[in-house]
Amino acid sequence: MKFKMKLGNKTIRVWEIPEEEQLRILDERRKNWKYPESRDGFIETWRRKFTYKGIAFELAILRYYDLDNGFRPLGHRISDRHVVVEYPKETEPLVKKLEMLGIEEFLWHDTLHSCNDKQTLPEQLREAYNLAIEDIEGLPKRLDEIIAELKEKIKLVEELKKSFSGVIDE
Amino acid sequence: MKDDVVVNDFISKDELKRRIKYVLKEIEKEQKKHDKYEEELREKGLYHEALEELGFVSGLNIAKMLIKKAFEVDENEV
Repeated sequence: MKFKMKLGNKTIRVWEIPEEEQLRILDERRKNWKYPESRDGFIETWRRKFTYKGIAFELAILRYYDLDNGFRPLGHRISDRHVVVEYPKETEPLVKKLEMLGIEEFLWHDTLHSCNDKQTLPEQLREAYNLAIEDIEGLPKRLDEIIAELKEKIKLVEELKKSFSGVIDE
Repeated sequence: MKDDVVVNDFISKDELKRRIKYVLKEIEKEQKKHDKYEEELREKGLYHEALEELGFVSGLNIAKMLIKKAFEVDENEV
């Protein structure tokens, strides 16, 4: 599949690896399949890196197949493709720090939810891109919330410490 | 069921309870359908598709739990 679409203020080219190459990969998986491995899976057909407010993220298209029927939509979906948001190596240190603060799944999403079932590929790409932008845009607010929570905890710890040292003095 | 559930003039508390029970039973029926399908997919070795079905069943479980929690429905009532 080859098409152009607007994401944010940029027009991007979505050029998947050629159909023949996808079929070759599928054929290779058929030949190499061994029991009890899964007879279905995904082939990555496109990937692109984006940077927003200095934070890098990637969008990738995955195409579903089963070894008996070839490429087909998964479950009740209309498209045999879905989109994932992932973070590249350079964003990993930030993601690890956020995880330590309890912020999970930052720049880690997919369009495999039932609400995405009736979406076309461009619609899924737009949704995935928006999820990534929302993560980045919403980060200052989430960090402010964590700071407020920590301040409350520090206050509580200080109060406890104060009352505890009073007990020791007696 | 919660005593302070707001009941308007058109639905009595008993009617509301009956409808909630109906919804919970329908969710359970749907769950059984997806459970069976998930098993079939696993037997065919389609593990990725089975995982999606499992996700759907878990989602229904959460929905059931939230409905029960919101209306404080007793497990034995349904």
